Amino acid sequence: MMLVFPILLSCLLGYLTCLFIFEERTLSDSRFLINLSFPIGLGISSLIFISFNLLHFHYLLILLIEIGLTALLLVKLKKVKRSFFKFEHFSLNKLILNPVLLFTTVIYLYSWLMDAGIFFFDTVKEPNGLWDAWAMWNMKAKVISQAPYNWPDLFGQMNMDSFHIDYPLLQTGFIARSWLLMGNESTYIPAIVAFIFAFCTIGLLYSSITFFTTKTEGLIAGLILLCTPFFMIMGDSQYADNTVGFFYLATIVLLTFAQSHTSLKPRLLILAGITAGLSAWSKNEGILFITCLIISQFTRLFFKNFRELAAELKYLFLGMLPVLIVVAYHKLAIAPTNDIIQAQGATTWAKLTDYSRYETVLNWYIAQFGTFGKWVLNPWWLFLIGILANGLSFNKNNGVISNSILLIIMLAGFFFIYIITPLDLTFHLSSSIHRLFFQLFPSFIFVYFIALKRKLPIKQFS
Amino acid sequence: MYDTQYIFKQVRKILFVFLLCILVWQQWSTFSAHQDQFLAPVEFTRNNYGNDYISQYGKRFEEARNFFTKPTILQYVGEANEDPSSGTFHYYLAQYYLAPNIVLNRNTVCDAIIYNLYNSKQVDIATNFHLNNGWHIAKNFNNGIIILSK
Repeated sequence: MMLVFPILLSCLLGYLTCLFIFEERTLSDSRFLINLSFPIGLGISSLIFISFNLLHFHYLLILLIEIGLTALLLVKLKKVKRSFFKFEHFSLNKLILNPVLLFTTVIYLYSWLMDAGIFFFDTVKEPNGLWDAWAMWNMKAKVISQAPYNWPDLFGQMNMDSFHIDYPLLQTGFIARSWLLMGNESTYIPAIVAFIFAFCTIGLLYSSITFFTTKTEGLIAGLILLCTPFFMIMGDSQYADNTVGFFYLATIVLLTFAQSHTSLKPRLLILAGITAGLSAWSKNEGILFITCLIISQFTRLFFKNFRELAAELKYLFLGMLPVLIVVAYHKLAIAPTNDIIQAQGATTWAKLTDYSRYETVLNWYIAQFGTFGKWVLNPWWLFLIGILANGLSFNKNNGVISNSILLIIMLAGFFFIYIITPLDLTFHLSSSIHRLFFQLFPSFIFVYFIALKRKLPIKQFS
Repeated sequence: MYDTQYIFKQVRKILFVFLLCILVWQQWSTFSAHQDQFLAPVEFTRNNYGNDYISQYGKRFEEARNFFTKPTILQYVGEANEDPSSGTFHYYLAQYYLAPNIVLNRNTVCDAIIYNLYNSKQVDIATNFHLNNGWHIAKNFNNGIIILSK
């Protein structure tokens, strides 16, 4: 019971928060809501825990705050009790009448169960996760849970080059909170957190593509992620790359929801802001994501005037703000300067003008595309086949242009970080490039499926 | 005359079936790599859970971790002449299992020194630098972990 309670409470908090923000009547498919809200709940719990912990609140008082917030949302949402866990009606007849859908559903369920099995077996083999998980995320969670009132001082004395003290605390904070509530350092907690992020990413991809297009396309989108061996390796390794990748995807999905409608959707934009903020609370790459997100939104000036765009950005920023305050406090008051930022100076220009560095990074990018995801067949061919069979559609309501630009700028951002890195370039590339690509992969699949040309335009969020 | 719409539709169907075949092939390949685990899950779990190197390594540190009643700054000393990658690995593991104590692998002002002698197990009292410069053994756990204090 003590194992599931801290996680269930966070999931419920996330679910109710999303339900509250969404305006309950607009969503009938709880499958989408569950996949979106559970990881958001984990993020909110982590944020609440670290914020109040820094104000020296006792962890039980912080728990009470979480419970109080959950109860408040329950009271506010009393009217929608009937819509809780309302799943779209499952029709066996519909499946039997559509053999393609039936076959795809069977493969999807088989793949889901198999990946869950692989996740379980890998966790049995490595219950502490792989290197970064135990040496950084979980180790810091141990420090916070064992010294909840002076962990910032202890972080300050740690070997910052070895343990990356500047990394944001979403995963670390949530694990520490759960360990504190449980009273022990169970390896199940980081494993369950990793499971939630990995499988909610798949579920969110499936349910959002299903919403915008068809169930078969949603299943195929989810299957691509389920069939990518390296995605499950990333998941059960307990690294934070799936965490940040989930929040990239959630932000892009929510923005697409908001922008598919002709009128302004403040609540969706606020939620997109929260998920973007939580990406910065997950990993430093999230800060780059927020920067790229804002830049990419300016491409929407082709379709709307500046005043409309400013209104959208205002709500987006409003959602980000509470998270960014905590991120900024962590960065300014607790974390040392990031090693890459700290090393910049006289050598930066020399690196920027060193052609061989560009060549090295470009070669790694190309090589990464060639061996992506440890597939038996390079998956890019499959995407190419989809484009050849359907064509692409760029219109003002599907957000494909701004989202594509966002992903391209992110790749360019990663590229330039490698150019200026103070670390040995080959070592840095070999240890991180595959993970950076994977952070963007679920978002890429989403944008790709939305961009495919089809007879009917994508549905709008009512 | 061929109906291009019809041909295009058939091509799309073929491509879709091809896509599903690739996905099934991929999943079959993934399954094959984990076949032993899927065929005997209980046995696999029983034989493997808790037996991984990281978990086993932690057992050496259980007593040492309980030795410190409050977070302590420790200077880390590994095996003499260990290769850098192995040394780093053991250092990280020591920090992981000793948290919230802070383990530093450099000369610095510290509350205690921890020796992690995973191979040699014992310090040479006669020649050890620290023991001959004001430090004494506060606790020897007889598993290669030795704590020195002033």
